[in-house]
Amino acid sequence: MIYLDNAATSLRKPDSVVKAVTEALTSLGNASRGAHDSCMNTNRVIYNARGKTAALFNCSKENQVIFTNNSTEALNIAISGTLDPGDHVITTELEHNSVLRPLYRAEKERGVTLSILRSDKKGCIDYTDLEKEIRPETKAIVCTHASNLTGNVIDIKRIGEIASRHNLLFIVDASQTAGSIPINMRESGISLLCFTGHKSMLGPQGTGGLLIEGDIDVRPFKTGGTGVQSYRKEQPMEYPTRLEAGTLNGHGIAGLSAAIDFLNDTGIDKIHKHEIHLADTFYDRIKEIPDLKIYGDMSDRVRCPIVTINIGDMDSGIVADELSYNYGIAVRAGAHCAPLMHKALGTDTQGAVRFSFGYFNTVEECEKAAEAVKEIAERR
Amino acid sequence: MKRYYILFENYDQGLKLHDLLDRAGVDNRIAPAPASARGELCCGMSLLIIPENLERAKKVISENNAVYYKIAEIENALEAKRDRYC
Repeated sequence: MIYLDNAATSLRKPDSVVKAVTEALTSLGNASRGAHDSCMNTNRVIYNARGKTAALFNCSKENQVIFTNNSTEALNIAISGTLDPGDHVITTELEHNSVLRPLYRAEKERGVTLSILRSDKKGCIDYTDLEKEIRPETKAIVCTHASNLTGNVIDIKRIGEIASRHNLLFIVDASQTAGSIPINMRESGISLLCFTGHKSMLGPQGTGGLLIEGDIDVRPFKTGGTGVQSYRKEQPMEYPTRLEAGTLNGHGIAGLSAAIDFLNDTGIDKIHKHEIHLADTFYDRIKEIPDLKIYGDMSDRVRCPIVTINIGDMDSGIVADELSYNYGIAVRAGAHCAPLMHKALGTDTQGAVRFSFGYFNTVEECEKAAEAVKEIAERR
Repeated sequence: MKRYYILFENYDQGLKLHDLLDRAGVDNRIAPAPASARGELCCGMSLLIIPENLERAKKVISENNAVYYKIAEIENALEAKRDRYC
């Protein structure tokens, strides 16, 4: 199989990640539930992983790295934990449902109001529109770092500067970029960064995190056992315990920690360069195919390694099935949990076929995928 | 013989100080927090310090603004056979 669905999850993980998880499965006790060796092994693994994660994203407080199951959980914590009734929030049409649904819920249940920045036909936003949407009651800007549908990257430094100037919270969904494009929280003025571990970070599924920069009061999303302060009726208010009720995924975090080592040892710039080379190779070979629609701004050099297409009016699911059944190529089709982006691109009925490349893909695989697209387009 | 236990609100605070004390060469050992000293706000781990090292430990805490819950003094109920600092 040629796996080109890395924007959904990276299938192949570094050997060191596999080893770390395997070892963890037979050696880790429950973090924060005692002081014997196996418990402390887990505490040490998690403690070290917090430090590495804080350093990777330049977050100033290691204890404000909160481990979650994925980006969606991190975004729910960030959004529900900071917004109050009457607050106004600005977001974009590029968002995944992991941002939109928590915001719609806040709108319905808390009386939060939303402004959604429109995008153009290429899926790009106009940054000058953003500042015009700011009102006295605006509390936060919540946006993705990159569209999971088009691969277009948002200039978070530019938005962070606007957020800082207006004293707004800036909540970033880095699901598609963490591990592939460098992110610097302090330089980009990011207040809360949400990431998942299993995509470009090359870690296990069931890992992710929320990083909080500075003195931000985030209400607990869930309450329960923490292994500490057991006689208190309330959730402990110290970070990270405040936002980490229940047993942490120690086995997964061990893998995530090894994945961060891999990213640092290999170099995120090198990883990104390779992935973009793969996407370019594929794009260059398909762009002249008649009646092929390619979505997103392919001229922007800072982008995710995603090429999303449709072949004429063919149903995207049928194209993906053809690729899988006859060519052994795995891609994502249909709706991509980004309903507003689909509407803006005009693909809400047809869906779209997304090719997403990862560090372990090869040029040869990209060439084979391009050849398959050509053949399908010709046989139509 | 008295023992001193440095108590914490969570394990991250404890591990951070453990590393700081190790780096400063102050013998300390991770131990379960004594139930009698825990109170409501304490977590399950503590750092065990012998009396001779208490002032040095406090100095490390002060110099690094390390966060801890409290330092508890407990009379040793056992023979010192288990004293093994790591």
